[in-house]
Amino acid sequence: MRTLRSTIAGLLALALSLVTSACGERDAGTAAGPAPGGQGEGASLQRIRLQLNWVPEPEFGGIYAAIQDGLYRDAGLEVEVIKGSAQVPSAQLVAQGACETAIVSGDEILTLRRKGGSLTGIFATFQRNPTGFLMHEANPIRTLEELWRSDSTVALDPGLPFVKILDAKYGGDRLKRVPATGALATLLATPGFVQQCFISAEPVEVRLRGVKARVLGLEPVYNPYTAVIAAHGPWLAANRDVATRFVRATSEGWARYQRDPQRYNPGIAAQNPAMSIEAMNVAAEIQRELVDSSPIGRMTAARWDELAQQLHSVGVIPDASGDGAFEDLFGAAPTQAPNP
Amino acid sequence: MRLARAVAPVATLLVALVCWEVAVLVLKPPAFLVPAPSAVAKAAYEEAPMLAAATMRTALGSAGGFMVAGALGLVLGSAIAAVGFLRRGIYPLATIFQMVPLVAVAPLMVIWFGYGVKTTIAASAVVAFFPVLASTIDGFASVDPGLRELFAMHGSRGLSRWRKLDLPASLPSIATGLRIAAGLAVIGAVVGEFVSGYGGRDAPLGIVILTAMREARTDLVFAAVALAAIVGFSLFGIVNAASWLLLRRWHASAR
Repeated sequence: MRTLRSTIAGLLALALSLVTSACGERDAGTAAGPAPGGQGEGASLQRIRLQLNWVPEPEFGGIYAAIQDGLYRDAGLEVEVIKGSAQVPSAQLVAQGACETAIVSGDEILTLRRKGGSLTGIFATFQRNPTGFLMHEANPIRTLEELWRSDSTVALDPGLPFVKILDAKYGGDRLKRVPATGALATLLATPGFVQQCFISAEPVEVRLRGVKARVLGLEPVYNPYTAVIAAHGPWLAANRDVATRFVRATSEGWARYQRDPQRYNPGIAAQNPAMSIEAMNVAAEIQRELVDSSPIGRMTAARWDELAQQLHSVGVIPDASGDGAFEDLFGAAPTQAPNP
Repeated sequence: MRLARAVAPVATLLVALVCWEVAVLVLKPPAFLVPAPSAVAKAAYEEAPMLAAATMRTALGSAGGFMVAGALGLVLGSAIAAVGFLRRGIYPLATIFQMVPLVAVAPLMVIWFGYGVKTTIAASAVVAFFPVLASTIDGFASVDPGLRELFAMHGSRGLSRWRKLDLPASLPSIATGLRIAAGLAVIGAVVGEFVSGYGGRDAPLGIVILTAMREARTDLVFAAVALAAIVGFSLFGIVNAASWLLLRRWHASAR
């Protein structure tokens, strides 16, 4: 009987822990602990949970650089990075307040805000769209229009806005659409196969396997801010100063990562052993020009309005306004970390 | 009496839907989190032609997987139950099917079987196979030894005894396995569609669910999930009807 009771208690505890840890697996290497610069004990730091939408890779390089160099601690912050995956709905989690911040795509912010979600963009990692279509070098298709008018088999995430935009522009009636799983086996084995990719992920793996491939970038047709850090609305309203320090430390982390990614990639690889340091170094070089901006991470209202108009034109959102989608914390008055 | 039995679950469902609708009206959760049943019904109505076509594709994949699992489970189960060596050698290995994390192997199935319904059927069969196999083996093991001896005394062995004694006597157990497999077949088919289903106009329910998730259309996700459940109920109903027809004259479970 005691065994039964303890088993039931254990199961209840497990269920509770699963519910309370809805944000997923926590990173071992967060900014917790006493600061080397004398910022005080971890208990005095302001805690921020950051839900990733993918596993630790160079696309989050600046965040890991800020952690490794103690930039968050120096800003009085304890940033808890929570690893993601293709199945983690990071935008929905931050929209309902399950975590303070999360990595999302620009279009998710506009879409969820219109469905009652409370999330606001505060930092854009990619100023230019890193999404594209990966294909063998020998594939005769040269443009997005040629691809969309062909009868190629294309692996893509169904439901993403760029699919509707390409459909509206080029039709795509003959295209055979299959789900993107991220696996490369089919592409490697099938010369005519095309798959959606993140420019610093799948193409790097293919290149390291010695396969000649190229990427048709989506940027000319669809160019939203990508890998945007979104904050939960009520949290942002109540913690604007904290969010400002977080954004600035993240921007500085990215500046350092851009200067010397090889210094930080071993730390990221420790969080994601599936990706080699060599692959991370290559990825960091590929993504460099898509991230560059001054300061890194800043967004403009004009870009958000442009995105809203594009999404509205294909019926993804009911209006064409980018109002409220982001908050520019770079222009706010300089803040200092609170004394411990 | 039969009507009363049918009314009870329908009434429970209606009460649950009313409670759900009221809860959404009062608590007002964001639409992307929990839609009201009325919103789900509206989405289903607006997308009816697309959902109907998707449901037919998923039903085809589920039924295919269910039939493959049923046939393989019955044949292999009969062989394993009859031959001691197979029982010791294959049965423990066959339990692997029950433990296969389908989500992990489904992408491999795409490589083996290609995109489309073949992978859907394979994924469906993998998860539906084991209940049929286990119930067939259990059913055969439960056949009255006295009857076996009687058949042996009259010189009835092998296929003849299988047809006249083992199979009929095992039917109640096999029917139970098939009922479990009916629900699992739909789950397996939808998971298979997640990795192998064609998008656009040829989308099955799995792709409709993925697409609606990406678009934060939770109402459409619920509608597609409800339709997948209806496919499962239909398969379950067909098994129930077949089992009633076969067992009603002699087995208590069908009376």
